[in-house]
This record gives sequence, structure tokens and C-alpha cells, in this order.
Amino acid sequence: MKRKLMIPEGTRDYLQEDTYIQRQVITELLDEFLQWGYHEIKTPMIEKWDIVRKKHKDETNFFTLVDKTGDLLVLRPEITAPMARVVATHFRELDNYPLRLAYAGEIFSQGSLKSGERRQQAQVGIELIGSDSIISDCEVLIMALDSMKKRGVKDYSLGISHMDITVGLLKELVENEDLQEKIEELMINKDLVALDKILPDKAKKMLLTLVSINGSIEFLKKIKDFSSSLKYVEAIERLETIYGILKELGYSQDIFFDFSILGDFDYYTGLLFEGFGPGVGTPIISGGRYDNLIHEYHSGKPAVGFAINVDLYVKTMDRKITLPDIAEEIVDVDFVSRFKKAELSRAAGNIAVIDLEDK
Amino acid sequence: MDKEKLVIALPKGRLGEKALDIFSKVGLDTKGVEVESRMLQFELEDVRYIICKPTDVPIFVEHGVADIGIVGKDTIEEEARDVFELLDLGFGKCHFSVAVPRELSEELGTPFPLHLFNHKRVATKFINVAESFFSSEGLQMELIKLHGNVELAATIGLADMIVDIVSTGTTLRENGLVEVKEIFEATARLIANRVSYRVKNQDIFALSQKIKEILEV
Repeated sequence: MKRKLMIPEGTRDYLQEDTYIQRQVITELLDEFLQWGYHEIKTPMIEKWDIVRKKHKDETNFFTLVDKTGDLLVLRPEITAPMARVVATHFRELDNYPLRLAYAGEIFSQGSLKSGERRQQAQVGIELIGSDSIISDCEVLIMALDSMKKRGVKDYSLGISHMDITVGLLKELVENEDLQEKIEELMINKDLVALDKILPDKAKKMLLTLVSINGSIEFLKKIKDFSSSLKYVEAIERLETIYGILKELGYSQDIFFDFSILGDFDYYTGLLFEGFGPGVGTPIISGGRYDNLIHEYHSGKPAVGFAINVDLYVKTMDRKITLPDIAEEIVDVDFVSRFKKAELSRAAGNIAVIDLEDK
Repeated sequence: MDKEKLVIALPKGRLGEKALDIFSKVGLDTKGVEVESRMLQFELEDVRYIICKPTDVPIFVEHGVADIGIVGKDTIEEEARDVFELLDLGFGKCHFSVAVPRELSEELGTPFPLHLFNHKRVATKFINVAESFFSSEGLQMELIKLHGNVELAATIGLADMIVDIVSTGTTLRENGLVEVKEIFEATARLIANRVSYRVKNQDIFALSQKIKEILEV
């Protein structure tokens, strides 16, 4: 009987060149991160439900499994929550900090198939744990910017946001929690039409400005007086300082402030950012600060990090990586010398294949 | 940052024509662009138009091959695509309704007791809209997807009720159906791709503001 030769929707095979490019890119990124002091670690592809639950806004998209004992397991939908688990279990001692960790791995979710969303995606990312300093924000932002700049992502840009600006202002201006939640949802979906209808008058102008306009440092100045609450003012000042540092380092053209970036995960607390490349309709990098996440597993540790979507990253890359050519086919009547000659050629760094004919 | 030209997805038909009208009013180049010709792309100096089926507009925009587009709220809701909804354009007004045969409505009176119909059959072209409406009412219906002439389903007994778009109500009346519950009203919307809106924010925001001003006049 013939089998139906199909793979699950939303997955793909990576043939020789695809796989080579992907591995090359991942290796380069991890090497770069290592130079910043970030060591790679690996976590299981399956986690217990308890670890990943509620970290993600859309649990219905999880791939779940039940093991023999009846435990509910999840194919990891992202890697930050597992990293937080690692920190809370393996790195409880204070002298481990700051801790710089990197990872590369696959994530899984049952996204919207009709949108061509991938159910399995390769990610490379970093987490900087144990510091809430402005410098730590800058370190992570620069690493995100460099990973696009140095690897030849064309026309890239990085949008920077902060949870205490849009969401902070929303919580300050709208007391009703149900309404807050509804507004936040509309903000994430960027339904400006519905927002315009639902937002109370005193909040309307400011919140609409925050979610519909972006810009450089002038924009930050423009929104500075939207609130005088300590958190809001501190967030603005923090972003100003960050901007100042990035500007001095030559990144001011590559960044903009966009407070409609609200993050897909519930755990973000401060800084938030998304990296964009040309021709792809979704961010290739997303990251931010999640100071409370690790606390949910153990004692509190501030943390900040980002993840790169490898496929989208490759798609926007300006640089061509090609599969290395096979240098020679070793032909010899003597079977043993075929292997000897090939070995010599390989020792010289070539790719050498052996004539397979038994004659 | 990206300085590529703006790509606009326009739906075929009346909605597309209205949209072109508005774009030319706000000073966007629309010279020679037609939504009903065989040409599917129009390359102008500062802007490129792509012409597609109304239901496909959010798909082009979601994938970022078009930066912005014009489409009915009905399509946005049914397609449930990840796009930014920037502006209510006010035209192309219609609404989603639940409709039942007149006799049934008269028999059960107003307001129509929808809750008596849990697990009953509903025929519709708009499975997602129907599903989310009924579930918000606490009802789980057996939905039957049809591709046209949905009224027929209720009149010949394929389904107990239908969910459909109503603009004037004439078609319903002629088939002996009456609206018993309005789901929501839909008008044309200006939508944008989530990355385009950020990377080409100045252009798109300015355009959206100009259109808003014109609509308010």
C-alpha cells in the first residue's frame, strides 16, 4: 500500500544547502555571543506543563503530550521560561551572577496554519541574568543590533519600547481591570478603530499617540509629559540614557522608539524591543526584560534577553552562504589507496569523496 | 531605514473604487489605476498598487507583500489575520446578522430566544464570525459552511438559521427570512502590516491622518 508522503503542516525539510546555511548562521551567532561571554546551554525540547504555562498568551497553541505516568508535557513554545527554570534550579548561588547564557534550539507551537506560520522554528538567543542596570539593557540591545549589522541583514532597524510607558499609562488612566485587559488586547492587535471607540476620553489622545506613532529621540521628548508618575518618568529617563549611549556608539540611525511594541509574552517588565528586516512581515528578533519571571520559579533575579528567528534572519541576510564544493573524487584501482589518498586530501582541508565502483 | 515605495492592496469591486477615490483625494498618485481591469499591478512613481479579491487583501498585508490595504471589517473578522487596523473609512456599510424563517420568528416572538437553539444547525459563509458570536452567547452550534445563497439553507430546512452579511435586507425578505439578532456592523477599514507600520511609520501615519481629515469633512 502506498503511503501518503506528507509532513505535518507548518513544518519543512531542510535540504543540504538550507541545513548548511542554518548551521553556519547559528554557529556564527553563538561564536559572537561567546565573545561577549555568553556560554551556550541546552534544555530539553519537552518541558512540564507547569514550567511553561501562563508564560505565553496563547496556551491553546501549545503542542501537548501526556507521558505514561499521566504527566502533561509541552513541546517548548519558547526558550526563555526553560532558561528561567535552569537559573532557579542550577544557579541559586549568589556568586554565579551576573550570568550570561546563550541557546540555540527549536520551538514549537500550533500557530495559524492558514497564515503559513511555522509550527517548528529554530531560535538562537541570549539571556543576561542578575542585573537590572542600564548597562545591561545596552549590552543586550547592542548584541541584538550587531547580530543584524555584522551578519549582513539589509536595512535592518530595531524598535524599542518599555512596559511602563504604554501599559503603565493604561493602568494609571483606566482603573477598571476588565477594560484594561480589553484595551491591552486591542493594543496588541493594533485595532485603532476599536480603540478609538473604547478608550475613555482622558486616556484617548495619549494612548492613541503611543500606539500609532513612532520616532527617534524627539518622539520620546514629545511623550515625556504624558504622565508624572514615578514609573513613567523613570522609564522615559532610562530610555533617554540608553539612547545617549547607543548614539555615541553609532547606532542612532538604526533604532527608533515604538511603544506599540507590547511583547507576546506576559512576563516582560521593562525594556522591550523588536528587530525588523526588509521583506518579512514579522519581527526577526524579539526581546526584553523579565525581572519577575525567575521569581516565579525561585528567588527573584532581574533578567533581560532576546531570541532571533533563524529562518527569518536567513531570509533577510544580504550575504550569500553557499554549500562548499566537493574538491575531488578519489579514483584508484587499488581499493586501499583510494582511502589513503582521500585521507591525505581531507587532511589538506578538502572535501574528498571516494569512487564507489568495485573495480 | 527602509525607503522602499509603499505597496497598497486594493480589493476588486466597489470597495476598491471608493478606496481609489479617497487615495486620489489625499494626493496619492492613482493615475491610470483601475480595480476592474485585467491588470493586477500598477507601478507608479511613489506607490505600487496590487489588485486582489477582497478576502485576499488581509492575506497580502499580513505577509507584508503589501504594506497597507483597504478591506471590509467583515473580511477582517472572518479571516482573523494578524494585521493592524488603522482607520474606519465609514463606507461599504453592512452588518452581520442571524436570520430565521419569518414564521419561526413570529411563533417565538421578540426578542428571539436564541438560547433554545443550542446545538442546532446554522448555515453561513462566515464560519469564524458565527462561531465566535455563538460562543460569546454560550451556545455551541453545528455550523455548515456554504459558499453562496445561504438564505436557501434556512428556507429549505438544511439549517435552522443562517448567519450572513446584510446590507439592505432585500434578499432576506424575498426569501422569507427575518433578522433576529445583529452581530456587528462592518465598514471598510484601512489596514497595515505590523512591520511596515513600524518601519514606514511616517508615511503610513501621515496617509492615515490625511484620510481621517478628509472623512471628517
